[in-house]
Amino acid sequence: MAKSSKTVGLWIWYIFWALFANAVYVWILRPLVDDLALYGVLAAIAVILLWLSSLKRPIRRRWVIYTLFALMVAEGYSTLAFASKIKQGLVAVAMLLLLWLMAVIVGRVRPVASLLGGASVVIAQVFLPLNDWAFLTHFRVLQDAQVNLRVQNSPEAPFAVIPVAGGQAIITIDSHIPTLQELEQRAISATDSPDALYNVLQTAQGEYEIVELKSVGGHLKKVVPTPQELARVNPLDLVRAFFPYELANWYVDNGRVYEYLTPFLTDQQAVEAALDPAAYPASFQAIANQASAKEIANWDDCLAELGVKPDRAGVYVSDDRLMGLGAGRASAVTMQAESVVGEGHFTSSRDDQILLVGDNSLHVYDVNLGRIVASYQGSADNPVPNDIRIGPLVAGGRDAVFVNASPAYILTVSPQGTWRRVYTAPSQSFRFETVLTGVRPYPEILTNDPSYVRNSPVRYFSAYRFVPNANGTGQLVRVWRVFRTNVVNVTPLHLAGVPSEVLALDIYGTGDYLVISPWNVPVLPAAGVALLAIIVGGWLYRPRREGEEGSR
Amino acid sequence: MKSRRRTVLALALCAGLLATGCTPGVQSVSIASGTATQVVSSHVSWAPLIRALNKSETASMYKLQTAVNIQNGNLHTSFTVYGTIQQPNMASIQVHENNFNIAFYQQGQVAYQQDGTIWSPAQPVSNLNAYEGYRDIVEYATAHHLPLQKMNRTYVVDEYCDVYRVVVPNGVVSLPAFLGGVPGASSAELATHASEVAYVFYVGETSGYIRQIQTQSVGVVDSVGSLIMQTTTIFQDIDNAELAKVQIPVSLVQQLEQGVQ
Repeated sequence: MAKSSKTVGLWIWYIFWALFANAVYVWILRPLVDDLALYGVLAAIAVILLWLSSLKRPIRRRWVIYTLFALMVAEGYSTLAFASKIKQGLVAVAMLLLLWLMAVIVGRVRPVASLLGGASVVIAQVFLPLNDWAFLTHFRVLQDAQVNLRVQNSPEAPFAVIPVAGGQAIITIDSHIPTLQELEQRAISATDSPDALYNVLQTAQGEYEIVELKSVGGHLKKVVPTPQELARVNPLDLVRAFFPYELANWYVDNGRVYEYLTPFLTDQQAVEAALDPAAYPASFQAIANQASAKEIANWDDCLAELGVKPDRAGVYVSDDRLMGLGAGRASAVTMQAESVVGEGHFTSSRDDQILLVGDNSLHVYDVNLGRIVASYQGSADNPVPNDIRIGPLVAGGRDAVFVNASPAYILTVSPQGTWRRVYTAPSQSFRFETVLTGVRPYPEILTNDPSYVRNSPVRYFSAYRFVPNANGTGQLVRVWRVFRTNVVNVTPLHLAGVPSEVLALDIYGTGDYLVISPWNVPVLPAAGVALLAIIVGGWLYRPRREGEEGSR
Repeated sequence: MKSRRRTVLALALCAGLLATGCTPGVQSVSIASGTATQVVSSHVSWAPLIRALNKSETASMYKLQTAVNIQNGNLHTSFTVYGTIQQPNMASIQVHENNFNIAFYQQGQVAYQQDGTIWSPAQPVSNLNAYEGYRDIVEYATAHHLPLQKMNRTYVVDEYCDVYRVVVPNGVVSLPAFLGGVPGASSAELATHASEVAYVFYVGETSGYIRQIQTQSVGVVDSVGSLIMQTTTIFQDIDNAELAKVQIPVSLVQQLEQGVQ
């Protein structure tokens, strides 16, 4: 009895160590190098040396080999992310067994315990892939799921956020491959234009379905959107990855909306445009205008077929007119702006105001006053793109405007309507993602930005706090950094059934999306303390005799 | 005892390097084309740029390499062109529109386009002078007395260049024929719905040709908002009969030999 409980204890210790070694790798060792370059490599070596020094000679080989085994199994499995489920399963089993055999033969590790440890890192990754463990230092991962994409034309899942009962939902795309019968049926009925058959067959293997990610008990579930929900979507939110060169063609079949892509220009037109480089800025502007008009007409046709009229969510701009201000106000206001960035309080902390982006400019429209109260004009050198975030800089303050140009910058507006650039990013690839309020006493400015030490443009998901200087400008001070790259489309969401605001995000180039929620569990300090305790424990520990490893 | 310590140290070093992914990597090499960054003089004479344009327009053959980059939200899309042009009517170019690839070949009245692997007959393009459009900008700017700025001297491809910059309204260059008269393409609409365009010309100090043109502008599109648009056009091997001579694509020859038109 005593022996069996000791064996179980040993198994638990092996499983813990396999998971913990990987966590230390993702949370401590890899970040050191990612952020601090050569200094980080030296620091990582120091940590590893300390750990090795805690392993007494009789058990050193066994534990070094076992640790390498656990790291290799985890890393190996994480590279299988893109394979099919069957391939993933087969390769995982083969890899696990082979590495385990090697570990047993070379390292003379305990066979059962180490197999359990190896299996545990694989199983853990079924729930949360190794690379996404990085989020755990500051976030609870509510969901780690996937839509199927062909990354050559859609490297990330588009997020079109719409309001639904009790919260918000996301409209996105998911790869759809028709069955043979569906395809036959569609091919034979493709008769309405000379190139109908060509279109059906040429794009059959590359189609998407428009799907909704809807909160079901706090989890996003893939469902078929209702026509009323589709009516709220700005279709141009779905096409950014290939606009304007490729056109999304939408059609309705059996109440569902499908999408296939065709080049917007004919070959002849593409060649003509290509051979006139002096006219590029004008040509592609004209092409984008036409593509936008075509996409909207196509989407509205689908809505008509579904029996609904466009009912775009919130306020929006159409034909230089601000629409959707609601009953009791003029439904449309004429202005030179092309899209709505969002709502906030820019010049006044009371009035509802709308930030608009227009002809290389920003405008603040005051809903109460019914007019534009401040405008900011960009220049050819200093452009204002459509990649803008809104949020307060200090708790309870008015909203600032976070502009993702290169370099990115922050603008504030005074109550008198004068604009001020209060911060300019130190790196060209610095990006603002969103502003989180209500988690800490100050607003957390979420970004993707590169290491200050390395000359690599690789960006990590980070948070900063704005610290004002005496002269009104300010600095960003790092609060935390999650060492996960390729984090894009960070979107605050209110989900039905979840009390606090969550973040949805995409992992670029994969179709993976995550839903995360900030938490204050000190994961990183706890891991550091645990590692230290293990090292100190190792120094104090005396193996009783050669070959016996006891609790270590 | 000493050797054991050395083994441990070596092991730790290896483990440290492996665990941190510190293995030799390949640094990507950018093409040998510079970008001027500072304006050194805000008002200079147009004469050297006009002289270079005159000379460039008469070039009989060159390689052309261009890229259009559009930033839409966090995403960038691109349109790139690589090709060889020989005046007055020969060209062989490849166009990449995001992930669609097109090839085009023309000699006189003969023209073919390639979609995927199959060549099919096409309409010849009437004007193959890629330099010509820039005259519209220079003419507009001089007629309206727009200032020409000089920027810092910059190395482009294989020579140092004098760099000139001018900002003109969008829509002053005549558009390709297929865009003529379509909605949203008139010069008035372009001027009101897009920012001005900064054109930066790189004039080779040795060759005297225009070697590179960059533009920066913001397009404004309904329901989309502002799109930052950057373009780069590079001319290489100008009048170099060995390197810039147009040749018939091998795959076209093979297809036609098999009797497939």
